[in-house]
Amino acid sequence: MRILLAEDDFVTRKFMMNFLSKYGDCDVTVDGMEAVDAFMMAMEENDPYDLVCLDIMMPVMDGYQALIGIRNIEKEKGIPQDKAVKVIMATALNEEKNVKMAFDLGCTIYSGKPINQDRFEQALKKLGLIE
Amino acid sequence: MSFELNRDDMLDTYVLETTQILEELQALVLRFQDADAFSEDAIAEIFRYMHTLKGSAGFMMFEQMHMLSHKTEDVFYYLREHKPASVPQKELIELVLKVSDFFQGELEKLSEGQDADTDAGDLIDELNTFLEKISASDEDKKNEKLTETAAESSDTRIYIAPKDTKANHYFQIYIVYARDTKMANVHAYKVVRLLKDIAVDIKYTPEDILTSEASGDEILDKGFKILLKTGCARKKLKKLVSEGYETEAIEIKEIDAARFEAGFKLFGVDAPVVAKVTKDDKEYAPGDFVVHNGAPGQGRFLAKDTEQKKDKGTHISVEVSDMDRLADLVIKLSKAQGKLIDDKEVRDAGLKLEAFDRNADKIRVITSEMQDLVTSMRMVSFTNIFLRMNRVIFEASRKLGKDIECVIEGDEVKADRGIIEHISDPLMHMVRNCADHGIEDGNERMLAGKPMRGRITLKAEESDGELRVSVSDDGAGLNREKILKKAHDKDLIPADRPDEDYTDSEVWQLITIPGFSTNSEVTEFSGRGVGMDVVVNTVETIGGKLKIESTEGKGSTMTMIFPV
Repeated sequence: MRILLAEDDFVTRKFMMNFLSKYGDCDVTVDGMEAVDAFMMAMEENDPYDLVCLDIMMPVMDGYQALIGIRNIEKEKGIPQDKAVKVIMATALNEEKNVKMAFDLGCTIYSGKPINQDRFEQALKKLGLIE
Repeated sequence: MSFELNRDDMLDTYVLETTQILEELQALVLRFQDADAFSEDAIAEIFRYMHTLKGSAGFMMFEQMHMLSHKTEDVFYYLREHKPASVPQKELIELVLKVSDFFQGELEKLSEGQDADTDAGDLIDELNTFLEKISASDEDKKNEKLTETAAESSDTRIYIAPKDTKANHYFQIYIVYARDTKMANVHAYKVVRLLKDIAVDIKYTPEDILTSEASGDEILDKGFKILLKTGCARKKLKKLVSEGYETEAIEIKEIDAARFEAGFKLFGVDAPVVAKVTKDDKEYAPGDFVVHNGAPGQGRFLAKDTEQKKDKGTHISVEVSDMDRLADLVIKLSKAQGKLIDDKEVRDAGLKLEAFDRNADKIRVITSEMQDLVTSMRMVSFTNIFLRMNRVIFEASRKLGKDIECVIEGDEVKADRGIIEHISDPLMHMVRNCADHGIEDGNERMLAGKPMRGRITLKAEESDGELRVSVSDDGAGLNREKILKKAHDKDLIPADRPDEDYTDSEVWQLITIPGFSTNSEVTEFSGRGVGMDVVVNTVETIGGKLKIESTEGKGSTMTMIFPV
């Protein structure tokens, strides 16, 4: 599985990278803009990601903007919804508004931070990303 | 049922909504306590309740509740679709109430901050047995599929509550190091680094602990102060900061969000700890959570919380009419003084005027300086007006759903107050035009290979005796064909002149003809037909002219040019 992680905080990034690397190859970006760039690049190279994990509070572009960008790229490429990449937003923001906006914009999993690793793994299974 | 609310919003909502459903479910079930069977409506209703419970438990990843409601849903699906002849009503009611109790128990656990992980296996087995029993008595249907196993839809949405569902705590931490501690700043940094792991946000003072050795002395003198926002509870925090560091005293106090936000002004000031966290009620939009990193020790701040605060020096406000009068008086004074010094009667009297001339020169210098000063006092920098435009862009970008950044150049350039005042409206118009017509939406930009985020640049510059104020965007640029077509449609240009005959700049000028608007849709922001002609009028009234440049696909620039 190809995973893209966008996380601006070094410590969290390191933790998330270690955690996600258990499930696949994990590429790392440090802001929302870079994440969209990376996503686009992978798409162009015909090696798209299976999972994108976005922080929300990030420099340049926040996670919501990155999510919009990713969904727009997919829309433009005519990728059907069931083939669309699974996007996990992992964030310390846990107001209902935040969660609702994420799902409205097309997020697949919304995970509070600190990450509940067991749940996270369960969710990946549920989505059929891991065995 | 009563319970303490969690602080995870989603979890709160889940618990509340599920509680409501359970109450309705129980009331419904109990109405049929003594009946022989549920009515068809009741069965459909219970099926819907179970379906909802299944959906929300799945969303929240409460697997046991998810499976249990799924199984119960199966039972009621069978009841609804196959209407089996003999159903042990008492047993069924008992089962539904058991399911309801199971849910309630889980909700209570959740409310206490525990995980909802009670095994529902036994209850599911019971439901299975029940399902087999009612279907067995129903010989004809035996071979039909018992239940509808809906495929997990591909748009599954999942919410994972944070590991510690207790919401954020706010702490003020005060650390005193032993007097002989060497490089206390580095020790302080170690604590900060440690806390960063658990911090949602952290501020500390002194701030420059990494780069300034002097901060070490300050820490020894005044102690090291930290404000921490974290999901961690006090106990864990205490353990974290107290271990292994050469501290003499550590004081940890839990505070409220407001005090945290207030920064170090209120540090150590005793006040009742308010437990309620005030939430901000405005709606969020993408882009609100772009992080700007503050200076070390100041914590991070978000785009949504940014309010421009620029130090504008010490100012007093003066009535504009007084200002104008002063300028007028200075001019009069300078004229009168000239007349006085060169007065014929004095000059012709044949007097020796050495001292008089020396003093006259002094006065001339003073009045001339006064004149310069008064003129410069009427000069205003572009800072404020540009910041206001920044705000306009921000609001427009939100309303239009476009991601637009504003770049400001030359805001320190000054111009006469009159000019600045008059160009405010035209500027606003041009900026909105850019946001609305100029900048493409995200999709189009992506396709054109441009960055998602559009850019509007506001620029002021003064050179060669001209003041130029421009608004440019990196959008689609003006469309020659569209403009010409529109001009023809509106009979604004002679029909017999061929289109190729028009130079680009002639075409661009067309949009300044009264009544012209390229956008067929009238939007909130621009395009009411009172557009560019009004801009040009205003600019010309104050002695300026408007220049329009545009490159298709690259964007356009509108420049107001004033003689200085």
